[in-house]
This record gives sequence, structure tokens and C-alpha cells, in this order.
Amino acid sequence: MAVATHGTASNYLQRAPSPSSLADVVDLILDKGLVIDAYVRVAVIGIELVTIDARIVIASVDTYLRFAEAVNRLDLAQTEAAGLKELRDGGSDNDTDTRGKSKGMFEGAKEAFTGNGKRK
Amino acid sequence: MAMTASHSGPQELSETSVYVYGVTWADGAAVPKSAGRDVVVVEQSELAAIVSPAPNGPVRTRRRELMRHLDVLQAVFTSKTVLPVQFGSVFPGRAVVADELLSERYEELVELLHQFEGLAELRVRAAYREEAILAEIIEGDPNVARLRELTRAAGRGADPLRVQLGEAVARCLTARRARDAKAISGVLLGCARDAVVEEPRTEYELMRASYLVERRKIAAFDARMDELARNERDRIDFAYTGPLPPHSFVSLTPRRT
Repeated sequence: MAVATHGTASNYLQRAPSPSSLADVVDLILDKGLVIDAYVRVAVIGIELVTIDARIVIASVDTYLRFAEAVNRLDLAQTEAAGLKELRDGGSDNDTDTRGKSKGMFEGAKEAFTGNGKRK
Repeated sequence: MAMTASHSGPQELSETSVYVYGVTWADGAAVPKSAGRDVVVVEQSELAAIVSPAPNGPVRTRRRELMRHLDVLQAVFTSKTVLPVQFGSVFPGRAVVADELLSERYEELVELLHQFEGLAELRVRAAYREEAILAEIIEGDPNVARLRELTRAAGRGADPLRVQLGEAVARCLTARRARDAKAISGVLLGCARDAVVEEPRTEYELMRASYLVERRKIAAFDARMDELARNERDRIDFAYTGPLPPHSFVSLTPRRT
């Protein structure tokens, strides 16, 4: 669903016609809509699906330790990865990385990070 | 189901259970083919319920069923006003849909259809980019910066300090989230009739909301979204979806029988 393009100046963010991921679909329709109470059975099996992406943010020691770890590894990773990225992108014959080239510095650095298991 | 048969009214109509997707105006037209072959309408006076035969037993909440609910409503919505019905609503026969839904709630449904004429739901989600927001927090909060230096220097065994650090980061994040969500909503509400804001679900999510927007104002809403996304591109990722039927905005007054 998240689609940011880096093309024309007039259209930075694309609007998706409908949600694409299951989590977004669940998010959009579950517990929404008209509730008709007479004569209706409402289907609810397999509802555990719904909780997949519902990682409610709970204030806990675990969360705090995750944040601490994230800020602690931050600038080391940033300088290293961004530096490497820049070096690589500097070479004009590196045609495997054209996607990175068309993006801004920050995008490039961010892309380099995603390999580090940043997301849980 | 034997129990439901007694509710089912006129015997000449099919007793097969039906799944109800939504309610729209009756205009004699068939449901768009794109909705699926077995999707039909049950009409009653000015109203039409969009239905399909329901399987025996509960409808399962799997990708297929969820997508179908969404797709059928979307197919109708391209040409008509439609009120989504809660996912998984099954009636014990078409006659019951006509009597207990379309006739029984007639005035309310007609009013809702008028109310949502020409309106669409646009869904917006915004999440911080982890590195960018954490860098902002380290720069902006001396306490975080100090605790970070301390814990990095101490290596392992600095757990109490680490918890303090994480707690401080969480506090800063909450404050920034509130501020940014308010600013974003302020920009978007200028183009919307109504909004439903939900709780963020993940650590770096700052906003999850639906906006009710006049179709003719969607381009203006697009422009605002585009400007927001462009201005915030270094720190916030946006996901933007629609136009959708007004899933998040419709409701009937509860009535127990």
C-alpha cells in the first residue's frame, strides 16, 4: 500500500485504489460497516489472522530495550552504510544499482540498512 | 439451520442463507459483473441489498473472504452510493433480508444513502522512518543524548540505564507523534467532511486515519497529501488508499429484538 514514487515533480505520493496487504484489508473492513442485529449470524472463525499485524504498542521494558538498542546502533550504522553507499554509487559503471542512484541520499542509506534486520 | 427456518417468511422464496455485502439504491440494474457471478441484489422498494449465497456454517475470515467482501463493495461503489454491511453478516434467506433489513430499517437506510451520496473514504497511514526520527530525538533531547553516550560506553551490563534510555526515547516519540499527527490532520481536515482516527499500531506509526471526502474534492485532498509526503519525505512514510466505500463512517442505531 505504501507507494512513494520518485519520478515527476507533480506526483510524489501515489494513491492506491484499494488496500493490497492482508493487514490493510483487515484494518479497513473488520469491525466496520453497518451492524444488523436481527436474524444475523456474524462469521468469526479464523479471526486469529487479524492479530498478525496488531502489535499494539505497549509500554514495557522490552519496548524500552528495543528503543535503546536502536538509538545505540544508530550513527555507527548510518555513517558506515551511507559512506559505503556513496562510494558504490560514485562508480559510474555500477549498473546493478541504478535504483539507488535515482533516489536521494537518505533513501539510499535507508535501503542499505534494511538488510540489517532492522524490522522485527 | 432448522432454527432460522421459522424466521424465513414467505415459503416461495429460497431458504438458502445469504451473505450481505452492503445496501445501495434499487435501480433495476444488475450488480456489475466485476463483482462476481453469484452476486445478486434483493430489492425492496427503493433499496437493494447486495448478496450472494452463503455457505453453511460460519464464514471464514481468510484472505479470500475478506478480499471478496472488499471487491464486491468496490465494484458497486464505482457507479453507485453503497453502505457497507459488517463483514460476515449472513441472513437466513433473501426474504429475511427484504423484511428485516430493507423494510425494517427503511427510513434509516434511505437517509444514510442520501447522506453518503458523492462521498468516499480515503485512508491515510503515516509512520516515522526509524533512523530519521531517532536521530531527531537524540539531537533534540539532551537526556537521551547523555544516556546514549553512557550506555554505549558501558557496553554490556548497563541494563538499568538502557531501560531509562528507552523510556526517554518512548516519551519523546509520544510527544512528537502527538504533535505531528495533529499537524497532518489539520492539513487534511480542511478538505474532508469527517475523520476517524485510530490508535497507532506499531512503534513508529504516528497516525492511522480515514477521511470522508467529497469525490469532487479528492484531487484537492491528493494535492495536500502529496505536499505533506514531499515535505516530510526524509522522516515520514505515507500510505494512501482510496476512494473506498465509507466503511469507517456508516452505522445504524443498535436495536435488539
